[in-house]
Amino acid sequence: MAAGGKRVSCGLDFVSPSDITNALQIATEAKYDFAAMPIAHPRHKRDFSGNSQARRLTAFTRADLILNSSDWSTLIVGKISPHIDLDHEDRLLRQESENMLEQELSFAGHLGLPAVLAPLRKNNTNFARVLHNKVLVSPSNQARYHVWLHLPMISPKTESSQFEREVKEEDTDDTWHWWNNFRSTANFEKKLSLALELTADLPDSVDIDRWLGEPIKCLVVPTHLFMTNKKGFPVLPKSHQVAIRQFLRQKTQILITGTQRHQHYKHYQQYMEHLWQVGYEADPVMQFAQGYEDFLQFPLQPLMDNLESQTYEVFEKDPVKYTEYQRAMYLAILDKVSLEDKDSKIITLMVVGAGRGPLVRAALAAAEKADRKIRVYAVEKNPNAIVTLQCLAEEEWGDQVTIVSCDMRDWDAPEKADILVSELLGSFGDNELSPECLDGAQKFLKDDGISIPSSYTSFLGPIQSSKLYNEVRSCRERDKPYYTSFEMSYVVHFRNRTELAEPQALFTFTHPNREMPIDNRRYEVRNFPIKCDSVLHGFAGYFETVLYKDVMLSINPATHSPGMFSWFPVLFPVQNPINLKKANNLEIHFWRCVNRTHVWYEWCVTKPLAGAIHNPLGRSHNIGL
Amino acid sequence: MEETSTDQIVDDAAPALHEYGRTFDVIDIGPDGTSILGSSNMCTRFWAGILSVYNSPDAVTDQTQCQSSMEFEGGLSCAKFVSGSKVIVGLDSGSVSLLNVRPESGSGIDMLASVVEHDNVVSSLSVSRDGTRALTGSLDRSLKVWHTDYLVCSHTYRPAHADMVVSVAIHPEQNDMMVSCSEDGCVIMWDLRMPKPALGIPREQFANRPSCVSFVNRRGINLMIGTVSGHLIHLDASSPKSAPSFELGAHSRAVRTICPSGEDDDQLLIATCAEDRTTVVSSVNPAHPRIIHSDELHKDVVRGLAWSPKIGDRQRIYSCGWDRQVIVHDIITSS
Repeated sequence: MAAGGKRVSCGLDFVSPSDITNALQIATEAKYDFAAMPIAHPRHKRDFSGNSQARRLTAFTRADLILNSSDWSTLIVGKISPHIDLDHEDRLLRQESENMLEQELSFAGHLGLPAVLAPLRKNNTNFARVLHNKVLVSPSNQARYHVWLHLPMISPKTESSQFEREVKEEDTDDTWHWWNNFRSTANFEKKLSLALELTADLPDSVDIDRWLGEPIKCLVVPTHLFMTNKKGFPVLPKSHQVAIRQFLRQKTQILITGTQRHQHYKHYQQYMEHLWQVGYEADPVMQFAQGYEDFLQFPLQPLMDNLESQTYEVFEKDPVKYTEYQRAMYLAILDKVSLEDKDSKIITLMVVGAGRGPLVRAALAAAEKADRKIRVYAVEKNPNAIVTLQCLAEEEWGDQVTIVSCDMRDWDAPEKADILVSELLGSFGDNELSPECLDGAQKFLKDDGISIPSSYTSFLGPIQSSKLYNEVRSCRERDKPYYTSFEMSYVVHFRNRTELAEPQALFTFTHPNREMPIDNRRYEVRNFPIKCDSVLHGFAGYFETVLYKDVMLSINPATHSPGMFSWFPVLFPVQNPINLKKANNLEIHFWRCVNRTHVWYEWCVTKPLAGAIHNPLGRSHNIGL
Repeated sequence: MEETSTDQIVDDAAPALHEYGRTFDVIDIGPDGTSILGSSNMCTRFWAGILSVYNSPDAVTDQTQCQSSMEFEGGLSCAKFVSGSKVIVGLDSGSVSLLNVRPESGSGIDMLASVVEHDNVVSSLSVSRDGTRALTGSLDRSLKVWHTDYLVCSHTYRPAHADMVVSVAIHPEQNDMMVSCSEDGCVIMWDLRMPKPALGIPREQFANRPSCVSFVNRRGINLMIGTVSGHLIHLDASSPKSAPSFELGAHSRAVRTICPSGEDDDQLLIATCAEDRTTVVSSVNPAHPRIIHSDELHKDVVRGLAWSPKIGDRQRIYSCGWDRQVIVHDIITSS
């Protein structure tokens, strides 16, 4: 039942299949990957209250012999009986439900089912408790199945009010709150995720975005949503197509439910396949980043450590970054050397942090295109990269380029540069210590010299993501205190998350920095108006940089450079998820702290709830100078 | 409209002793005495529903007298006579079928029509007194109104409720008035003539969640609502916001079926069964409501109830349950 790399995983829902083998055959012949079937008959309310001694002792459902164990564990999702309600007001019915649920979950474990589908109601605290217990129990008894909570996107009460003559103005019944209540009670447990059902009316895009930030393992698509096109095949309305494609980007599985309203069940599966195909082809970043979705990476520390050859190779593949740098250098060179001087004047261009030379190459190409003469210095502290640079200088560049094997902060340059080029930026702009490095390098920049980049700004935006919260939580290292993983930043290719407000600019650095004295510490306060009822799990960090004049690079979603994949955004977690209401003011304080050997970030949320400072003194994470 | 249906597995010839399932779910008696028994197998390898036909109500108590039977896929949850020979069944696969249980050929059961329009188990079925209209409620939260002639759906309300629909009823006199009850705790009156047909009865009227609903009394609009605590509540629905007229504590567990006797007399008898072993008959005339008869003859939960026509001052109820028994109860209806 794994969601394949190239296809969408689609399942078929059976209400009361007479013959399991036959039903499974129907599903597999129609190219479905799995089938959802009830564990016990949907009308079979078992007796625990003494109505029938005889019935209590008999089998409560059909045997496991019907299918072999590999079929059970890969092809079947078990459905919990719909009449089970652990939060029923009536005590007897509640107890009976608990007993029946226990029976069905135990059987699901016995069969080795990969997942169990259970309906989620508005009141669900007791249900959450029981399911959470199931997951926590000792490994030998532990539930190996995932639980998918089946929930419609819009409350059926809201939908049914269309027939009501006298609609009462009650509070809007939002199924997201049912889910939020459930998963908060169950402490964001990873094994409890959502099977979200599409409804005829879709909620606002803000609400759909919020669902996109939830751990939705499966999207349930009822057949009554499908319309019929001219050829008699089922198709979905445009708005539903858009919504489904957004979920498919996160590798959500699909479950087709309901009676067959078109010629054959296989047409629904084919249509889903078609939607996936259209979405996949339209998104090149998705193809590149496959496997990296929501995967936490520790940020590189290229200043303290030396990068590896493979890392350089990945960077050099970026199609956009170097063309933009080249364009910036082209404009800068033209500004430095006028047309009259083009044969007489040779300007000095220094690439600091040259790596394996892609910026040197870009500089030479820019000069040629501008038809001007330049002399290039390539400064690099990594002695392994120097090997590459020397080789390129000998084989390709010649005397025009001088290789300098030295940390730019320590280099005693023989002359000053007209143009200083660097690419020392991390996903949060200054987090690879570009300010400190360039401050050290600017002593050999002429007073009227140009720095490329001329400035960079970091951006911060609040996000909701159960998935990432769980990932951070599980990063816990044994010998470190529990808060450590929450006080670090991670580089993550975000997929399964919701933006709770527009990101805002945070810290800016300009170069050359002519302040006296230079102080790269920063402290800012930002206020975010929250878009919708949600849960705060952390902040996403991005950056924008102005290379020269109007040439810029950005990973801020609002201004993202198209097709650029060199930087994935950053995640700053918060230790305890915070429940937020629509229109709340979220206030965060952010610091960039510097001492003689390290730079680090500290942050804390003060509104609507006052929280503790994360990473004080850089105790969990800092960046070495 | 003849439609071959994938629900039909076996169209029988000679009845055999095991022509019924392990649990008896529904029993109904037609105007000429032909009777049907619906049963299901819910724990065996093949989940099936079986409809068995008998010549008279008393024959139902003896399963060897089964005239003919038909098997369905998934389970049979409700069945009602539409006319002397025609029966509508609601199945666990979501399909609704129209059968002729007394075909001219003399033997067997003919499938006249079968449609699958519900997305989940058909949990509840009601037929109007003139047999032209049927109402089905399903676990897919929707209601459907059908013309019984060719099983064409005239109205669909999806979703009618916020949770599964468990009980539906059509008014004995007015075909356009209906009522439905759901696991969401709401009882809704439906008037099909209105553009917005639904009128919910305020939840505050019930101390406990309703589990079953029916119309009683051909005159006026009077509802009988059974709750999960086993109480029967009588409500005059012509002014739904008024308080219930009276309450009877008939059962100890959730009420499952309310079956009015259909006789137009002062007594207004109803038979009820619940998630326990009791069968109860009550008189629900608001002037003098009382429980007339209560017994615990079944050995497991009672599911289906049917009245036989009144003879003098005696009436009989036939009840079926999950103990695989059909039991006759004699009710003396002197006032």
